[in-house]
Amino acid sequence: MLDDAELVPRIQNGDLDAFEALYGKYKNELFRTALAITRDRGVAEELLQDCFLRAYDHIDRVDACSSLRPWLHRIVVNLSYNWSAKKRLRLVSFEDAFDRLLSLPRSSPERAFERQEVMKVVDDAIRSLSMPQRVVVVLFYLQGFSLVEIAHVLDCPVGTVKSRLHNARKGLRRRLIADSRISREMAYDLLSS
Amino acid sequence: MCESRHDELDVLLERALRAWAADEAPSDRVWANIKIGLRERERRYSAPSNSLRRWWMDALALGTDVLMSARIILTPSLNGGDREWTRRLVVVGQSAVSLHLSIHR
Repeated sequence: MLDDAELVPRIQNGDLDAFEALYGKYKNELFRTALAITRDRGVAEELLQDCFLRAYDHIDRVDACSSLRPWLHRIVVNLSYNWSAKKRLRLVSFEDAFDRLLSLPRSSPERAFERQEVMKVVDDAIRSLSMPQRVVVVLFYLQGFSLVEIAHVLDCPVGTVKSRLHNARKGLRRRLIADSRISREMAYDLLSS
Repeated sequence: MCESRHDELDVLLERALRAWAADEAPSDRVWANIKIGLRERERRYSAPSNSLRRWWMDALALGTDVLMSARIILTPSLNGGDREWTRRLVVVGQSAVSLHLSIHR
């Protein structure tokens, strides 16, 4: 896979193959970020499309030596915010994806049921977060960005990111503990699988 | 809050999100639409209105060269706005101040 440092100058010179290589490199993780935030596959695809068109428009401003990953995430997160501001957030459950996950072979039907319960609880908990908290949770847990990187992506102080993540974790923990569907054994079952 | 992720909740969230997203990928339609968008941009860039704009900018640059080679200097001046053509130049140059003509030989 080509480095961004090699791709950027080529794209800046109008090389469409280089731009396609860049798309191939980042499309899945950007799509997953958009999908985790919006919960809508069609919208996530639109945001991904807009993200790359904007990236192409502004590629001249990019420092060819640095990774495009945070910059591209910044674009897709900003587009997600714009989208949610225009349209009331339509929450589509993680359940479809979980169903696919759960269709994998398991040791017993009971265990599969327990796993499904845990996943649903986690899904409900994440859905309950505010948009800013959900964005931070997605970037931190799904994409593995550090707090400093998230601050860069969101163009806000690290303290703000820490605060959002702290509050999100507090809310998620409270919700998970309070949910009668989840037991410590169930959570461990998911963790050890 | 530290960044270590060995807390039970952290592991649960990380695994749940990553398991959920693992196989998610955009359809081929997205890249096809991006290519259409790029072609549309290219078409807009080479549209007649843009060609005219580029031609005008070239003419302006050429005119500036002619003035420079003839050693005709246009300088901002409060007294320069009384002639119609200097007013036009002010508009073209997007200057807030009228221009004053002087010839240096």
